[in-house]
Amino acid sequence: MGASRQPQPSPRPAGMPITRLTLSHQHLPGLILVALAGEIDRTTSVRLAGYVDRVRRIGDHVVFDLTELTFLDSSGLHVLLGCAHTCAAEGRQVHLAGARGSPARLLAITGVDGYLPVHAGVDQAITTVLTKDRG
Amino acid sequence: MSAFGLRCPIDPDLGYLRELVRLHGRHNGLTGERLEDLVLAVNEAITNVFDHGGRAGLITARGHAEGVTVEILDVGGRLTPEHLAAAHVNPTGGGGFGLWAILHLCDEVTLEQTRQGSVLGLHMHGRPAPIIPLERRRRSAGDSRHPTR
Repeated sequence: MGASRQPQPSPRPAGMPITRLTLSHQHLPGLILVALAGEIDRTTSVRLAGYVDRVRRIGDHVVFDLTELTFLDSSGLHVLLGCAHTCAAEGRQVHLAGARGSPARLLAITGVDGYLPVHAGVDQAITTVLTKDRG
Repeated sequence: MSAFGLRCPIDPDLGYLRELVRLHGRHNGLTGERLEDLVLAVNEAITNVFDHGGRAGLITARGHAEGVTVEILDVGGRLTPEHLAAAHVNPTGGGGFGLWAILHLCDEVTLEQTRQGSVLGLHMHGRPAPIIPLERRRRSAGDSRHPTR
């Protein structure tokens, strides 16, 4: 876009989405922490689903760190809920941590924040999971 | 400076289209949550064009006295008032989040059938929309945001 005065799209090579998403994870006892940084839409949600499938060990709870997530859409919600269903089949849970702004609003509007456990921060989410497993 | 309109073809590059809508909405006075609500609603409408519609169309946006209107033309034209009326959310079963989000993020949603296809109009005023708890929404028979009831 740069300095163009009119908000008209410049020709862009097909198949080159600019939606940014950086994924990282950390294994902890009984859980995996998956951090999402950037934006999740239909161009990146498939990558998220594949990533979680690949890095999650059977029997892990999943904590999604949404602190650095600036955009989440319905396709991303489907991935989070799909992961929750996979976990539920193993008696495990998906926890969401640190959602702010637009992603937090989507979670609220769709009622997903009442369906999945939601935490203000990652530390709280991890503490909750570990405490529950011990108890 | 005169108000500019936004007019661009629907493109698979959703991040780029979101940025255009954000620029346009900001130019027309939307800020903060209202602006991001519009960006998310437009994103969902475009996603529907790719996933359930004709995979091609046009986005137009204009500012006016009450706020901002974004129209999404879907050349597939398969979106009907029945789809809007049937929009629901079901976290356990998945599905339905896109239209539901559109209906609850925007101040008004309109649907028009034209010779080119269906045109979903997303209207945003300057003030925030309330978040109504899901249980209360399920219980309420009517919904003023629903254009079809």
